[in-house]
Amino acid sequence: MIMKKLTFIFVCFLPLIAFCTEYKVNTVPKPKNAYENGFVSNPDGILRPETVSELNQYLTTLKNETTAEVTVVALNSIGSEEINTFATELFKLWKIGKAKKDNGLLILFVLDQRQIKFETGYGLEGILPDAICKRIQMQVIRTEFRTGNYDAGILAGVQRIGTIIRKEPQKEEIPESIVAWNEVLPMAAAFYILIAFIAWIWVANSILKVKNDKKLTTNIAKYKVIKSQKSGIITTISILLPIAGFVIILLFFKAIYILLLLPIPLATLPANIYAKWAAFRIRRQPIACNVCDGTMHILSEQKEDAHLKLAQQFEEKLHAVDYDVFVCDKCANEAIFTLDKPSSYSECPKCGTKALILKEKKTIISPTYISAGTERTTYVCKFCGYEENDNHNIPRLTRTGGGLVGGAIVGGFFSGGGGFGNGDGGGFSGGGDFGGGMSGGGGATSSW
Amino acid sequence: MKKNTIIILASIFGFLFLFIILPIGYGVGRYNNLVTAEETVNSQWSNVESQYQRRADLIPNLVATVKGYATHESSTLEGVMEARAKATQVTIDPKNITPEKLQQYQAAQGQVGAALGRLMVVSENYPNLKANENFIELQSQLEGTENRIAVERGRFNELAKNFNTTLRKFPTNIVARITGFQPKPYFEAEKSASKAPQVKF
Repeated sequence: MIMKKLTFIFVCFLPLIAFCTEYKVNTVPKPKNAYENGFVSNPDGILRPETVSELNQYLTTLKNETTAEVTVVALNSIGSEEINTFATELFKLWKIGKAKKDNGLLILFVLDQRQIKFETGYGLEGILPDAICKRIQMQVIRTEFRTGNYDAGILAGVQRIGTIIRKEPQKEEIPESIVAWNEVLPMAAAFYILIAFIAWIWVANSILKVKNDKKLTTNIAKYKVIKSQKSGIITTISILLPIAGFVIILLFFKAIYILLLLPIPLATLPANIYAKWAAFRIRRQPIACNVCDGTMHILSEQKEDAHLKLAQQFEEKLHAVDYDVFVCDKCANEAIFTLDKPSSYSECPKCGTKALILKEKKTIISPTYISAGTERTTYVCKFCGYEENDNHNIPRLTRTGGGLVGGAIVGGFFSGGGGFGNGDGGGFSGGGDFGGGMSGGGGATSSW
Repeated sequence: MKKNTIIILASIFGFLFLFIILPIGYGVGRYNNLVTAEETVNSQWSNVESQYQRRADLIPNLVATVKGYATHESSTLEGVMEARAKATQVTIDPKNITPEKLQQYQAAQGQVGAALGRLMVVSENYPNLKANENFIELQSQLEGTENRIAVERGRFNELAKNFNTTLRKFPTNIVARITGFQPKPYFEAEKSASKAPQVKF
């Protein structure tokens, strides 16, 4: 008889037992996995489908208005697990609420423990202090739960919470980008050193080649080639590398790292200095005498003046031309090498000295929209005093939209660049997940 | 300048880069990582402390509320206030936190927890007190705070463990030894505090 009774009881409870899976923190189905605007995890069907969809609708609006993420989890059993720990762990796992704002709320209730827990994220602890949570649980939810009316209880509770969250004024968000400078900077520094090293090797290599080049007979020729090669190499490194880096950073990294490209030209400084020094030495190195078998040595700037004409000395003073004077130590044979320097002087047609310079530019007749104008330029030779006047036509003024076109191109370039940097903060609007909030065990627990 | 000179200079530069500059750069990176990890532990410590402080702040209100109803429990109430006063004197600077200091701190806070536990047991005897709205809310705040303390302590332990693991791993341990980083102590699971006090008849 007793056996029969027991069997009967067992049979009665069988579906219940089979139904009661004990959930672990990581086996609770995440509502976000099922569909985008899901805020309710109801794997045991404790809540009616209508309630679930009503809750989802309500909580989606709440999230859109306040960004707060409220999530409801209804479970039959979590075994002997403590509900507070379970809630904190689940909150941490799902990252409910927006990152930084931590405005998530987890409402967890477990039927076999007859307990309900509100786990508030850090950001909601101020709006929903434990006492308020407790009050909502005691006054709104408990009475309904005691009669087994979970749907009504949870709906009323969620609505009460929603009202409280909505009352809080929304703060403006301060976007904050996290840049791990402490990790990036040492790497960047190593990179700069590598660039400096490469630039240096490259320059040294090209200097070596120029030095051994049989085609370049004079020191000045070698000097010129080294100078132009050096500036070519340095420009290549300090322009091409930043451009390549710019593209790579925009494609793969945070836009702020572009700042790291700024010191790259600086990294070529050692190579630059080395090349200057090497070129200077090549220019001054002794050469073989073309008369006897002696060697010729360069004279210092003071001594060389005795070997130079007055016009040449004047040119050196103007920094228009550099003269290198070599004298043989055996036969006193002298050789003068000329190096044209980049300057605003040109050769005077009268005396042949490179001392002609623009003196003034004068508009004699201003151009109008109807007629062309005239401009007179005056060149003067600083050495012999020769003056040269030149009249030019100034084209008629035109009304074109040149400035506008230029502006549009520049604008287009910059606005085109804007497309990359907007990757931040995607996690929220994408909807595939919760925002990444944190809780610290806040909230309240009640039994019913 | 001869070819040999360039090769020698280049190899000196390469040597410097490989064996001095690169390791130093790497070491600086490791060091900065350690600093970051230590800072997270320190800030987590202030989270722990602020939760204990929150509990300490609740006590005067709680005691005042209980006093109005439970007139014969002055010794229990005094015990709570005394434990609170003692605990607020024990503070820790997170920068030089040692196992001994942490143990001291934990013991002092454990006293508060135990005294509060006794108070809660005593309050069970006063139905009017239990029905008082103010008391119920204070009680829920206390529960919440105890829960928060547990959570923040757990997180502190987790972060301290992370820090200690980084500290002991090669090659960071070399950097740590040179720069003098110390491992962080852990909170021990308190048997007396985590369990409700026993009621003896």
